Amino acid sequence: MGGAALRCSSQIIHEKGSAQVAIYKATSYQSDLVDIIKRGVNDFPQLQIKDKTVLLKPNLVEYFDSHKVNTNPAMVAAAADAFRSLGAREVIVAEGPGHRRDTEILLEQSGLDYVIKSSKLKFVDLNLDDTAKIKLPFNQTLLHQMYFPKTVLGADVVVSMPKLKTHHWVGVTLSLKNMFGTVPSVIYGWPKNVLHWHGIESSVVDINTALKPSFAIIDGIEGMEGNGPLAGDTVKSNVIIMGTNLTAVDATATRLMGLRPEKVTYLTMMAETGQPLSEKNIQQIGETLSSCRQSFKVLSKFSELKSSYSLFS
Amino acid sequence: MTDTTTNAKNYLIQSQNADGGWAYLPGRESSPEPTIYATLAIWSDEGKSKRAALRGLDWLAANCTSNGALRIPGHVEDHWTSLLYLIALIKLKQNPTMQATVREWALKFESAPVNETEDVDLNGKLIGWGWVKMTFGWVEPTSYALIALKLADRRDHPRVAEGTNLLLDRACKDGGWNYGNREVLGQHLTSYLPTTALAAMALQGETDRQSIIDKGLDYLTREIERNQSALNLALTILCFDVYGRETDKYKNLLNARQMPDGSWMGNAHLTAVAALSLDTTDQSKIKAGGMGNIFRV
Repeated sequence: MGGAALRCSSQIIHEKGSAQVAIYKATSYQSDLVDIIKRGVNDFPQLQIKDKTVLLKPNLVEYFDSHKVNTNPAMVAAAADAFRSLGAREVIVAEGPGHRRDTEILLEQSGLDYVIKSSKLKFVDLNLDDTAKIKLPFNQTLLHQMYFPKTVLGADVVVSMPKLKTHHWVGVTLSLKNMFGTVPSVIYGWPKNVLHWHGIESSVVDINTALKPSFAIIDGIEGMEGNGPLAGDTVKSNVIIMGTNLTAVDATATRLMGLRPEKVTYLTMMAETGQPLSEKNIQQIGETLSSCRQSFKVLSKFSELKSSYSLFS
Repeated sequence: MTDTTTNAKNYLIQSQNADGGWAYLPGRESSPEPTIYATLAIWSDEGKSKRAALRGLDWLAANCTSNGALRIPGHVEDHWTSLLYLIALIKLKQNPTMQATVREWALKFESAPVNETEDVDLNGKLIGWGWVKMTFGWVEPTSYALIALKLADRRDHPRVAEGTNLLLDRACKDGGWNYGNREVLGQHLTSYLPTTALAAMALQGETDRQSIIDKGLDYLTREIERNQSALNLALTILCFDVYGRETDKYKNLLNARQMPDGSWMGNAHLTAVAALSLDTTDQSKIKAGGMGNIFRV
């Protein structure tokens, strides 16, 4: 039995609720990122950190000298320090790279290995973790259930830490799409083709409504435009975007990129599950969107994503 | 080198789970892939080593369905490691009846075709082996399948021919193979060491494709200079051994990455693959009747 389809054929999106999203300026990875992240977390007092297990899920997928693909390790180090100083019982860094089996080389090449060792953090390769079967509440993929790593399921606070990037199949890849890395490749393969086979957008919805990540920290100091998520060009966006509602965070990030979130299929599908998407339902704190907005290049097939800001700036 | 493999095998023996299987990492649940490789790695020694290996074999048999598919305990889906299981059963000369059953499962486990698009440059109609039933065919599972079926005397089966064509179709411009996409949206993708090594080994015996195999071996020769992880080194050693290329330098590098506890990265799968690459390519052991390279057909 399938879930009710969430794709919108009409212009009306049945979003619900409201959320707050924080935008902070950060001009480089040498900025005081710990302070920025702590201030961001403190903007959301409903996020309880003290004595909790916090799992940081960065984006670690490929390493190229020429392209800034992954969440910068400085962001991961800063987030770990921030959550530790806020009283977290344990901070774990976890990722399940989707293309390469060789996590060792990815950790070394990306510099994340250095951060993990110097910060004495625990790293879990989610591709090899023990798993448990979870029913998919909205079942958009028609898979009915999926196996997820027990390390993710057992964490009190799951923090999605993506990079601010365009995506050549779905338009943008932000905190929601970043959660693909929690799907264990020992079951689903390298790549996790079952997610593409059953629909990337549907998979985004199913994974996030099943796991309900607690917080998002988007590394937008350097993002990627054009042919993301691997082969695009670096864009200095100088922002960190944070919030407890990942749909709202991604909608804000999309607007900051000069793109229209209501044209990103998986964002509208998430809205249909009861999440805020439109600006009127998202309270912006920190920097204003207008002061940070840019005009990210997209592939021609995504030209309808471009907002009027992008088209006329 | 002897101490390295001895220490690795001792690590594997002491990290075996109570149920007879091995997990990837300490304290985790037993899983097919590390169990297969660990069983292979410690098989040839007698005493506690052989006892542990036999328990590993029993764990695998207990988690194999009557139609020849391995499953992760508690799961209902056939698992891709059934392809590795067939390799292990043949190399260990175990249970011909089970070999035949797993072989037939392998021949029935097909990937699904896709319609060709402008976005991805490959022949989507070629049927190989995927990670999950009825999804697309990829380099790594197809490579395991071809090695397994060649070992099972099915070299002439049409699926082997088509799987071979799939691998050839997916070769990247730089000479190697990645997970299975050579060009996406007009961009040539880079290869990876492990998948190149596996694809090259899967193409053993395809003498009319030697130039393509040689490009893969040349890719490995270049890339191993700058990407010397345990997995990269171990699979490069196994592949170079199959094709008669020099391996001593890479064995020394792999040796140097072993941890004091005898493991590589505290990971039983990596440790077993590393031990196999050092041990089963040792000519003196092969002459004494050892198993030999697990991926040599």
